[in-house]
Amino acid sequence: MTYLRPHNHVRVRRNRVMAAVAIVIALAIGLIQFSAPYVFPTFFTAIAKPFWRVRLTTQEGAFRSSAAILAENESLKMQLRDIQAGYASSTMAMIDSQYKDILSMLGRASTSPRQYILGAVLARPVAMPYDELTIDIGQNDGVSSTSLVYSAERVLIGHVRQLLANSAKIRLYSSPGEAYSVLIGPKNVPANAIGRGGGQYRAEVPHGSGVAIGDTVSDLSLYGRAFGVVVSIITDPSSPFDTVLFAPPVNIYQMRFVLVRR
Amino acid sequence: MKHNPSLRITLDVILFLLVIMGWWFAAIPIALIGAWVFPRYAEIVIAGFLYDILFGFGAVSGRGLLGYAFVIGGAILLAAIAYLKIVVKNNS
Repeated sequence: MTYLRPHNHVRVRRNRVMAAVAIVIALAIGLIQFSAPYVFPTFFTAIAKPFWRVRLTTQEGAFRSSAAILAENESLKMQLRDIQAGYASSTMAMIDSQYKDILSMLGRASTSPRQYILGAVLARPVAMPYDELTIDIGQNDGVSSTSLVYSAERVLIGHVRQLLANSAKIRLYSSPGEAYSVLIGPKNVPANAIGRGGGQYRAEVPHGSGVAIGDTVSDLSLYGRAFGVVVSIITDPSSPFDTVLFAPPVNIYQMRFVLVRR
Repeated sequence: MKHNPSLRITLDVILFLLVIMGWWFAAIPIALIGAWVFPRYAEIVIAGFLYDILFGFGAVSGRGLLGYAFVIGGAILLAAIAYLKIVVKNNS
């Protein structure tokens, strides 16, 4: 008597082997990722970097005609001459000079002419609340794992989170869960700036501390510019604290370059 | 359609380019189409892992399991679509 086989054993065996191989590969990847967490980021960032560079150069208009670039170059040179001429005679130059004199008298003048390293922003998560950037400079360029990161306008925005040889990942202070000590308003009310994502911060200050919308928020360093500007204050009569919402004076989503302090 | 490797490779290339560019909102529909059309579309999980690694949500970012949101999400999506395909096949 002939019976039909209930299962296709070859197929079942093949599926089992494939499942076993997939599990082994997944375990191996997990083991590598947890024991040496920089292996995969270094490898995949090296692969992704050319694509990010192409996008960056496209955004910067690298495919424009040479005539257009020369014309823009001339225009920018003229603007620079005008600005330099205006700046030399303006009160800003005088204030800047006095500021440097005061820092020098107090022994806090900058001694190194190259404190900052310019880095291009290669990638950022799009439409995500996590504020992280990838920049094109890393350990080989002098960036350290404790480096602070500023916008081109010298606004403190974040710190190095993951340092690779030729690139680095930056976590912005506005990333959810990040905290940074700041002073708010003309009375320098101390507070903890908590990241809310999307370049936004919140902080709690005692009720009646005199903080108002439009007040500047500064970091605790001598050199940084305004850390943020107060955009809203939420007052709850039942709470002894006011919630202050503020944002940095620069748009973090439009930054092409950042300054990394050595 | 199930045995069309060139279509699968094309979809994979598009998926991985979208992931490298960080456009997760465009990558998810592509991944869903791939998972529905092709059997064992493990590329979803690999793409999720790539996204987690590239955009800093890996183990070093200190977010725990949330740091692997995309790889976990990819595995859940793959399992959900496989289940859905079985249900549709049994009911048709």
